[in-house]
Amino acid sequence: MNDKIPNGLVFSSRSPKRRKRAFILIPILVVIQLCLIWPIYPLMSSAKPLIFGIPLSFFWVIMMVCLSFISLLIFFRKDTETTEDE
Amino acid sequence: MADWIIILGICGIYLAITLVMGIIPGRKVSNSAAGYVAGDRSMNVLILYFVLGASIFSSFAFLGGPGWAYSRGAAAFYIIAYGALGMVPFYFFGPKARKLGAKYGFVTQAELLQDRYNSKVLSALLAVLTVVVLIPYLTLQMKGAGLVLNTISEGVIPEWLGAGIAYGVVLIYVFFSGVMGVGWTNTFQGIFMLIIAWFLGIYLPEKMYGGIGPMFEELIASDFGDALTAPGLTSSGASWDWWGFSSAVLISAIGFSMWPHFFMKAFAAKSDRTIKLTVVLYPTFQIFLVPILIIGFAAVLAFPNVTPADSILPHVLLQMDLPVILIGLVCAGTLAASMSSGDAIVHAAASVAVRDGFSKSPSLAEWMKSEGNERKMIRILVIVISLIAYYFAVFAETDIVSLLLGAYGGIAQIFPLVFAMFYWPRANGKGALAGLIGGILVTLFFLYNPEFKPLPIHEGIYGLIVNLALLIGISLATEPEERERIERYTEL
Repeated sequence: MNDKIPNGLVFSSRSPKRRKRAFILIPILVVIQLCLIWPIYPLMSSAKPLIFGIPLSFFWVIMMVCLSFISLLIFFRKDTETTEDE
Repeated sequence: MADWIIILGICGIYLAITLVMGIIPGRKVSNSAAGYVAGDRSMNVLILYFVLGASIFSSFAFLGGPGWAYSRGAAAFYIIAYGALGMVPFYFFGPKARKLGAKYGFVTQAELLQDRYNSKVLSALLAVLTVVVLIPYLTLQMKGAGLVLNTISEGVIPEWLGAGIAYGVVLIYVFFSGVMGVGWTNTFQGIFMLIIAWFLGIYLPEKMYGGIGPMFEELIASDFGDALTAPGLTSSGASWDWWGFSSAVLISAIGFSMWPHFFMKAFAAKSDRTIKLTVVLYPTFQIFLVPILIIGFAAVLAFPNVTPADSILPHVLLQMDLPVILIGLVCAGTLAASMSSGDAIVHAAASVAVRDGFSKSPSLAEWMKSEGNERKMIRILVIVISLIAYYFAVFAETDIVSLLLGAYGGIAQIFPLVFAMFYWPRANGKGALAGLIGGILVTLFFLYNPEFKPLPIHEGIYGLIVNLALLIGISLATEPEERERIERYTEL
């Protein structure tokens, strides 16, 4: 019984394609998260210059929210295209 | 007619609309627990979007957000930074939870974990953790509502009465309609506060500085300029360090989707697609923090030295020469922010207390089996929990804010268990229980003894390290759960 249950993580998914896409999405999201904390955010942490009237440190965070939105949106469209989900 | 009567009149109209919108949907759902707690699993994207969005944006966002921007500068970007990805885990966990819920009748997060890890102790522990964490959260919402009505009525309405009126309305619609009452009112309240926030965020800088760009130019040239460099200031006014900022963002992002009142909405969703689309669209709600922070920035030069910083929004409203109708709408918007979180919290706390706590007692479980009795029990708990929170809001002098700040570290400890539930077959009940208890104890230890921290990072991170070590170590050292049980979770 014991030896039948794997010791590692199992990412079962009915569609191998979806699994592959998820493995592309996750690293992208990790990079976005790192852009919002140390070590990447410190590079963009200055108030100047103003971009569209907004300080760089603020604009950068807003940009990252937009980027995460776009990457998830693309993933979602592919996701619901291939698996017949209601 | 005095201005404050007009303002209160607008708040009164808002409260009346909310009450009506909250009571109507309750007539349509079944009187089972699934109807009351999970809305017969029928929520569409529009409702789920606002339920999740508006229950996250509490009076903390409306009062605390501008307060942070005002007193701590760039530190306030933390609130946006953790929300950027905080909801993403729900894209993957949510649909799995929903499927299992529909198949086995689960309506709370703890029921799912209890079944996967085959541990009633775990369920009871999560019930206690949920109630302990949600009551101070609810208390804060009540205080916010009381504060707003007290300030704008120029003291005529005492805080206890203000909080009592607003939460009397919440109590009535949660009592009658359960989660669907939360759903419909949050949709109304969410739209309302989005409009108010965007309007104020653009209008205030325009009126005070001639635009957002000129406002920031003046701010950068002033003494406040340095505070706009991330990560801004701590609450005491010193520079915040990257350790503190980064770890706070991480722990909040991890804890975000684990809040019981948030996670259990997976069971109310109509389909997998509903959950996924809600997560995808969520950043459009998140962006609403931008105008909220701008309100705080706008006040920095015009109204220096306002304390406490959280009162900056009501302060600006009263000091500036604004149309009375506008002030009324903003006050109603602040009430909406408070109530749209408060309703979800009281509903979740009562549901969890009954489903995961009381129903484990054999005699009560027997009684609750008969038609409608379980809902009756949850309704009683809705009243009891509201009264407890109200007591703390009005009479007790406990420091609730610090309790709540510690809560995020505690809630984040559920994450490894939920992740392992779906992706790590080898995880078992003993490991899960040890991980959760160990994680919470370590988090509490460093919360109250920060001088022992090896690095100045959020105590929840230390909790997570211990949590993971125990979960992995003890699971591997003991027997796994039976195969059939595991496969229900890993093969979805």
